[in-house]
Amino acid sequence: MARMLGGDGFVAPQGRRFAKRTKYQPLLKGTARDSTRLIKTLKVDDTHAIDAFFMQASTSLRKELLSEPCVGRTYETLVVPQVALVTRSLSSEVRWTILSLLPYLSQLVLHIDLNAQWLRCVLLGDHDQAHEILERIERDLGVSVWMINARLLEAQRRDELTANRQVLGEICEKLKSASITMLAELASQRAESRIAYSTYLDDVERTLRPFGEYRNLASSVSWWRHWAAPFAPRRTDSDCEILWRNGLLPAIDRYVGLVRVLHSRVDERLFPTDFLPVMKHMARELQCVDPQLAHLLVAQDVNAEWPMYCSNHLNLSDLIDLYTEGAYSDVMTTATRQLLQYPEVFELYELVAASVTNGQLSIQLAFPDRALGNDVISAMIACMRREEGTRPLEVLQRIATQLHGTRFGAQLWGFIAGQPQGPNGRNDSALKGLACTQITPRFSLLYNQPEDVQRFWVHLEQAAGATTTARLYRAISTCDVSAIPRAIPASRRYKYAGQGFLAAGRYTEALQEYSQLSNAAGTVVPLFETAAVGIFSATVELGLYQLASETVVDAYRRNPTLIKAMNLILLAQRILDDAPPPSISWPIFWAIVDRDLETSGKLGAERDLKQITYDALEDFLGHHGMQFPSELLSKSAEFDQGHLVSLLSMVCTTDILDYSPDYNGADHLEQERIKLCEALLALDPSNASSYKAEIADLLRSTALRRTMKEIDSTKIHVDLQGLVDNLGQSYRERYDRYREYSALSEILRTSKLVFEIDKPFGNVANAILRGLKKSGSTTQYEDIAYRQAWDLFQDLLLRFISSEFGLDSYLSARIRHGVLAGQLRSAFEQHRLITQWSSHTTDYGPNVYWSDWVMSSYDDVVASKVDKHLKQLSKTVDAIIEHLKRGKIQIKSKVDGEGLFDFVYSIERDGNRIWNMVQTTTTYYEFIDVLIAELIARIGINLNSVAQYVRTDLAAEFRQALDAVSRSIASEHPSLTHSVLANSIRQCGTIIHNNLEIVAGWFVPKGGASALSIDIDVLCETVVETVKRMNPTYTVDATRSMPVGVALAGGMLSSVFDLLLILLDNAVKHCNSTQVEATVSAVVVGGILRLVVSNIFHGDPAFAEEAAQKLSNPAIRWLDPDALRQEGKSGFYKLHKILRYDLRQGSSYSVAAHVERHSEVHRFSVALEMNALAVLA
Amino acid sequence: MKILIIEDDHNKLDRLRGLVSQELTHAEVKEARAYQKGLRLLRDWRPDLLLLDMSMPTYEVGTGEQGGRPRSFGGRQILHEMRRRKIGARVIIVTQFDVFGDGPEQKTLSQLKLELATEFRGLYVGAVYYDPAASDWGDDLRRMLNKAKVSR
Repeated sequence: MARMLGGDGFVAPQGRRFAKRTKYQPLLKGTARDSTRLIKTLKVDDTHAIDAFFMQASTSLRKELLSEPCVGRTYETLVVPQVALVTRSLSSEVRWTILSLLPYLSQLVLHIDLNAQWLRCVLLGDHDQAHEILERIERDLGVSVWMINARLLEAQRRDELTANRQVLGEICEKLKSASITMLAELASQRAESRIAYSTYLDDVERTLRPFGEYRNLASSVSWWRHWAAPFAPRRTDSDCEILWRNGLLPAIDRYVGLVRVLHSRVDERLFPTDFLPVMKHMARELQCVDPQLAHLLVAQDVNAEWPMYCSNHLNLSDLIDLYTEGAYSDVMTTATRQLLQYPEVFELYELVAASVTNGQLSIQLAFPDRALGNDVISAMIACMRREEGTRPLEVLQRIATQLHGTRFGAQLWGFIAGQPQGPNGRNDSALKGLACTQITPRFSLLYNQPEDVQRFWVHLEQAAGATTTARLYRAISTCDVSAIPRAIPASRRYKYAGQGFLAAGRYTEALQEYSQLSNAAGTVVPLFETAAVGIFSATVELGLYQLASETVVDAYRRNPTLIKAMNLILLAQRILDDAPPPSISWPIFWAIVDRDLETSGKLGAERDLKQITYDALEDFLGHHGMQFPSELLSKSAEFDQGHLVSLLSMVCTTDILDYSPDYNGADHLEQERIKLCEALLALDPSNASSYKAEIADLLRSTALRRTMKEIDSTKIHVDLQGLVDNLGQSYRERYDRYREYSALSEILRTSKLVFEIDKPFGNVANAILRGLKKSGSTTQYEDIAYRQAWDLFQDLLLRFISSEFGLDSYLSARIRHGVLAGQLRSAFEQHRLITQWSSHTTDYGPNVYWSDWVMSSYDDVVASKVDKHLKQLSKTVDAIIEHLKRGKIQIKSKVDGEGLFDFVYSIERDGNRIWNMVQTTTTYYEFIDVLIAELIARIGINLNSVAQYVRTDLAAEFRQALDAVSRSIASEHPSLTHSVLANSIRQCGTIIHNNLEIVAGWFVPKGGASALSIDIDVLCETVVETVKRMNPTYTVDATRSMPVGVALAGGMLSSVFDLLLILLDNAVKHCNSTQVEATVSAVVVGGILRLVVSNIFHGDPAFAEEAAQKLSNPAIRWLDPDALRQEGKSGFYKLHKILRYDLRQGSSYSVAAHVERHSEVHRFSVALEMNALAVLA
Repeated sequence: MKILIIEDDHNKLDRLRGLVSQELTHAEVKEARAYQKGLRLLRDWRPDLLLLDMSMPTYEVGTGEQGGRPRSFGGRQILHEMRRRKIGARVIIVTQFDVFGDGPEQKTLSQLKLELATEFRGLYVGAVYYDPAASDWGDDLRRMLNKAKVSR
């Protein structure tokens, strides 16, 4: 009763009887109430059930039920399974796909034929004809995804981008499908002639990324990626999704997916199982137009039936033999001529490219100008010659992707994968064989088992006779070097003999052959490369490790991708625990292993390759009596220059040298690297630009650190010059009076004062009378000069601590405003331990990070309690910081004040000392200097107290807060003691100590403003870095646009830093998003420096506009200094203070803010304009 | 006896120093707060005993020095260098973490102890879990110090 479909073993053993009694009968009759469920069951049923069902189903039923419609008008339409659900079984999906395609065989044959005709036209550059063929395909068959790609490519080739975009518009208009529009956009992009393949792939990922966030769209994403980037690495578990979907036209699009999936799975030996019979059937039907399925079957089973090549009369074997025998010029001429007749035969391109490369011939292009075939052949030759200038591999990758769905495209990708610099995927290398025009000796490489290879030779000889090439491949596969045909040119004989000896384990002879090849290779790049790889393999096997490492180093210098063909891991394993004698090649070898190889788990226990590289370097340097690599420079002539360049450029980098115990810090390390880069400029001029760039980066990083240090050390500042200049005429007059009085005798300068003790008469009187606790009136005699000197000192003190030039204004702008809180909070924010206060909820926000991560595995009660403890920590931390800001980092001017900047002076305690000091002066400025020296000395004492406070008391407060939260959390659940959360709390303890150390470092005495003049761009980068550190939970993307070579005057450095910091920090805090996009720019025009900070603002633009209005309000400019530096007011007030006083702008500056409204987000900008002369160096 | 403590947490360093001075009254103690200084002291000073943290910065953090690259397994790297440089001090790991590293490299303290005992036999004495809120670590460290003294 068995019935066969096509007589090829596709058998339903139980025939009609099976169908009659099967549960699928309602489906066959069209009476099923739940057809989706039934089909789902059928898909995972046994193969006999599926075959029988298909045998019984009418063609219309198969088309109706078994082809999944999947291209909808919206992306979401793709998600909804209409008929048959996708399974996780590749075998089931392959079978299902083939069965689904069988009703479409005639369409498929027609399409493949027309597809080949179109391809010929495109390769030849006959765009009119190509266009006509596509018209015909659309008319006779309909629109497929394949055809959309083809139309866009053809349009681009015909009339560049204009035609490409026109066709794209027509397609999108016609199909009105969101997902097809997306694919068409990408196809249009890759058809463009200038886009790099890597850029295109990035765009594909960028386009698909948003969909990846939706789990129910994962299947669609796989399918989209299959069409957009068919050769890009993908998850193999997405193959089912690819097979499941029809595309626009099932006959074509599903077939393209089927072939690609089977190609990539050729190693998995799926074929002999359940879908072999149906596949055989399909292969036989298609073999004349597309032998790929037949090739797959032969690759899986050498005894399978070889395909009949119906329409191809080209005799490739003879031409291949000519090439094998070294007749390169003849091959090039013949193959170039034949290409005009058979432009779709990829093997001809290979023969031309290999002949031109090995014979070192000039290229003869086969096709008319602008033909795609010319692009292919030129890029293939450039690729084989390793000419990187035109990025030939990228060109080929793009063309292969453009030609996805053709055999040519698959073969081209196979060529790419086989290049040392290519993606080098084993399966993709097989594409050349599977998609080949005819089976040739190279097909033998698809077999792993020797008996399969032997059987293959028998079949091949029966089909094509014993050609030179076949004898050569056979000799190599049997390791019989003596059987290599004599007709082969000497250099390539060495190559094949080397391969044969290597395979036979005769390593000494292999080494000899490869060494001869290396000498004979001349400038033929592929031969040199083969020699290097062979020498490496032979030397490793012979234990000649030193020679092996030198071979690696030399080969890497010529072509870094060559090491993909060398088993570096094997060499690494052999020398890892038995270090070879020191040599310059070992550190380079390890650097190559670290840089280019995936070693995970291959080198035994966990290994730090950078450390091993450093160790090898230290051994080498120590062997030559050196400590630092820069010592090599004076002895550079003693070393091979190539090796020295590799050592200095690849090994002596900062990330490896930082394993050394001999560098004192990042500065020292970077100085060493700069020395090496400077030497490399002369030693390796061809890479001078990269060394120059590295030097510039290092100098910049040093400058950045130096600026940061400078800024940190100028946080405590008093503008003495500004202070003295602004003492005014009245102060000078009072000084002159003091001088006159002090010249008088003591009697003449004494005055009688009567005080009412209970009615204070000003501060001075109170100070004088402190301690005289009598009630009623009292009479005192006072030395007027003494009093005048004290008053002058008090006046100066007041200005010193609290005027616009004084200490408090700098404490306010440089420490209390944001920076201090940022530095301290950042330690906690880095570990997400604290959240921010919300004025809306009047509470700290919930700790979503830990709730989602760790606490999600605990019950809600525990999670809620832990969240409460973390909120408490937020509160405590902010309270500590607030106390520090408002209590401790303040000027103490009263005895009972809390501020650590103690400037309490009393006439009883300090009067005589001050008097004695000023008595020694003879001029006004000496007088001022002496008093200022006293105040500076007091600052020094204060700073020590503050630093001490920060290191001890403050550290203790934070430690207690962390200990308290640790204990509270542990008390909620025992396992939380050893959780990641607990670890983070501990790590935070270390970081907060480091941050406190940095804060303590701000409180060191420093004389005057910075003397450094610093590039404005470096300063701006320092601001950006500071803001990032202050706000670790935000992602700050700040672009800079700065004039080149404009430096800030040393004294202005910190003030400009303060300006920009206030603006950028406000941008971060108030932009209403954790993704901050900001721009900082500066320009100097007509003596005006214009600084602009702008940022994207999310949220209600009315708020931003209100802020802009306030900021631009001209009235702020006339506020008095005290109002400008008031705590708790907007930081923008401080902008005016900085501009007016610190930057010496007076009223000649402007601050303008405005908001640009857009549909979703808005741009908030603040522009500051000032006199450049006062600010720039 | 010369003892080196390599530890970047100030508080922990204070407490370790206190305990060591109490237990080994005649010991000479030096400190390093980063990988580089620690390794240099090991090489140049050759201590008899090393109390070693596992995670640390490359350079000591201070004004103008951010510390270079943070090293999750800095302690292990130090042990590796000791073996390579044939520095024979006995080593006690004192760590306040029981999970190290990120992603696939992440491991627990128990895993780490096992690995260190195998890989650095002869150097490694043991590991103490330091919990600032508990006192157990002190007893554990005293035991380890005795063990190190005995095995010298």
